[in-house]
Amino acid sequence: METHDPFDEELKELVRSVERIVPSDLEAKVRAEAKAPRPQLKSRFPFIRRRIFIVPLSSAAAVLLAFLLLVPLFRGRQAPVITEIRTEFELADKNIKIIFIQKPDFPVLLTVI
Amino acid sequence: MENARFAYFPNLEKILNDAEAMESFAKLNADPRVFWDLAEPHKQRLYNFIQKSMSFSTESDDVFQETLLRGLRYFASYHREKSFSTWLFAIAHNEIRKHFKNLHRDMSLPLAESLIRGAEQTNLHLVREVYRFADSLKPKHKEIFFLFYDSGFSVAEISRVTGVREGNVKFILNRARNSLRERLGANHGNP
Repeated sequence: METHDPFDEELKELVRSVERIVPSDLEAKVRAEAKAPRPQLKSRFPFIRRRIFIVPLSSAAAVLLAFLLLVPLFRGRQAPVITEIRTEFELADKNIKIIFIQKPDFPVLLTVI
Repeated sequence: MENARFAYFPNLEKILNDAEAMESFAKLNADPRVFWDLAEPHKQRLYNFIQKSMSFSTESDDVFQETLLRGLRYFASYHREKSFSTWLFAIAHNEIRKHFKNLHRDMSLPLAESLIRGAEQTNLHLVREVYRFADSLKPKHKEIFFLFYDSGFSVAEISRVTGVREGNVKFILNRARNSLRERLGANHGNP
């Protein structure tokens, strides 16, 4: 716009022909207001200096809570730990049943019924 | 010892000088007298900008007062290397924007003829037409119009004050100029 259009100069003249003077009482009022101590509003959250932080903090807390609640759901059921291995043999004609029970803390446990 | 320190760290002297300068600026910025001294030459221009951007609303005095008080309150954040007038007018722009955001009823006043300087009485109808046109603009466009034609800011400065990109400022001003050319008739503004 730094072109020197004569119409711009004419418009500036017309616009600037209307002028208001700052009222002296207004200026005095502003200076008096500037000197007066501003009343401090009591914060409902004195530990949080700015209320603007409450929004991100609360949303972050909601996300964290949702994460903690949903993690067990997404994790699914874990496979059960094998506590023993049973191997059974049945000799029907001799009415014998052989059961091998293998446990982690026992090498082999043999049960004959 | 001091010299030896600077000899090992050639930039240390500059860094210390900058820190001292920043400290002295901060002290200076905390002084309200400095603010009033800096604001003094722009006060009249600022007052007229607010008045005109708000269509001489009865609330424009309050906005002017709030602009100065806010400027004083945040004067410590003003950087010396930037233009004071641009900084102050940017505060005024925010205050005007806030005013229009919370506006519930129009408090604008008709353009008083007594405001028009005596020398321009012959152009009274043209002045009226220009201000009638300005009143038809959106608040932000009106601000840009008066920042350029009344306050005398450049496009770059208006962009800094209002946060509108320079290209858009040029576009808004160009459209306003063309509209006014049509409104004011064939004898005006034809180079």
